[in-house]
Amino acid sequence: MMDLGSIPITDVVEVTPETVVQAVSALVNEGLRFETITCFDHEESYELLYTFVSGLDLRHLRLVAPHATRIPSISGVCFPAFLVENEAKELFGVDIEGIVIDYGGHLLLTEDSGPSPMQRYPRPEGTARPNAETEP
Amino acid sequence: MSQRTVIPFGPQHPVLPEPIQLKLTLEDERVVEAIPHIGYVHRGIEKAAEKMDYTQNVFLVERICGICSFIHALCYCQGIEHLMATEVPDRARYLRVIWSELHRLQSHHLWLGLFADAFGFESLFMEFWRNRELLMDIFEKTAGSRVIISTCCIGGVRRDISAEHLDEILRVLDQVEARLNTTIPVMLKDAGVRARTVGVGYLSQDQAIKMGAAGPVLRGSGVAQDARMLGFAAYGELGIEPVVETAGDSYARCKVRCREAYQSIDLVRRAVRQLPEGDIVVRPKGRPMGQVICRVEQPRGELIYVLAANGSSKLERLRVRTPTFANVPPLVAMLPGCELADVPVITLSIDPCISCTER
Repeated sequence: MMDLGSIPITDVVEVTPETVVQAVSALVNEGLRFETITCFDHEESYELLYTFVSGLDLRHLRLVAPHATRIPSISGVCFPAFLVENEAKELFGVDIEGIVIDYGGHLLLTEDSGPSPMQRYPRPEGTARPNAETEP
Repeated sequence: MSQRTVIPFGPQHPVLPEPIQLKLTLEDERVVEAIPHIGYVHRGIEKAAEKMDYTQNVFLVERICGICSFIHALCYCQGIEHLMATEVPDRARYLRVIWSELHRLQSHHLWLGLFADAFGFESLFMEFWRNRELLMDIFEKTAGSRVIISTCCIGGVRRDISAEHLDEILRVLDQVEARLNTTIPVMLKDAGVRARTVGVGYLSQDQAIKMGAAGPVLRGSGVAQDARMLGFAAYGELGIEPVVETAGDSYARCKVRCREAYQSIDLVRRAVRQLPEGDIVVRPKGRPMGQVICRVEQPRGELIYVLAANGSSKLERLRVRTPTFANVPPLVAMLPGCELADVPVITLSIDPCISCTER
């Protein structure tokens, strides 16, 4: 029997902030189970890899957007995503809007943790989104 | 007219092995809403993994959790081996199964004890933990320590198990099985246990899938999925049938873990009998390069690692999705409608490991 425990990331559908909610809704309606969202911080963009499973087969949606982009939450159509979206928002500074349960940047981090510790690249002046708690 | 009250369950509570808070909104004694709060034991493991050498990360990830430590290391090592095109020797693959299943067995014993303790069945709690000590002694004899055994490494395993210790493992499993034959019927047939668990914390099959449940929470609701069916380590040769119950309540989740304990005993026996001779490790050449997604089955459910490497000594990204992280949303779905007195039992029924959840 083949070892499918470790596989390259294939079967990826590219989505945009405008199409991600619809794409996720289609997968959920097909009966796929939500696994996780993996956030990658690149020099000028975020990459969000949404992973779903059907039986044992994985399917992915990939969203790549510039750092300042506001991204809609998928938790309205896929409730279990709320935790990991909060995590992406506070650890990477991804501006995700409309999370059904929003912890305002304090799911894992305390007040004195400093912003977005998982960011690898500095943000240009004026493009960094403030933490939801401090946003007017 | 019903009055609404907000009660904090946790982060410190007698039934919680680790800190998590559930803000419970109650109408009289009935839960109408539950909001989870975590962050009490966050250690920044994913950030630390980017700062350390990829070989050092084995020691980092096996400290994410003490109960399923070996399986974290297994998932990580499998990912690196894939990126470095390294084929692990057959003997090492079987040894990995032996240690993984012994971990699953001791984890289920730990949980069974805590579950009994949750409804005040102290003597049963002590029986399960006494049985668990036999397994902890095996870890100490075969690996040198009880909890974080550090035997998995990139390319195989660090230590072999001698023929003498293999015989001892089989003898101990006979003892463990004999004790389970007396304790599990008490857990599953006792009228008090059934009254506290049957019909409590119901999660339908449809909800389990929609909420992204994993492990016994998923299989207790009738979904036959187990990451060991992917065939990693030596599971492909040994064969695995997922343990499934259909009732979807706390009793069903308990029954899944009881049956999985017997399944683990059987798997270790077969792995020991079929253990091939040969090397236990190969030295990988080069550096990891590329992206990989790895899945294994922890005692609590499916564990996912996403690794991204760029050919340097440090990983670009390590993403860890643990099963309890996946089971928190189903918990939020199970609690509304239950009585306040049922909250500890339902919360424990997902087998929460908060160290894993928060990393």
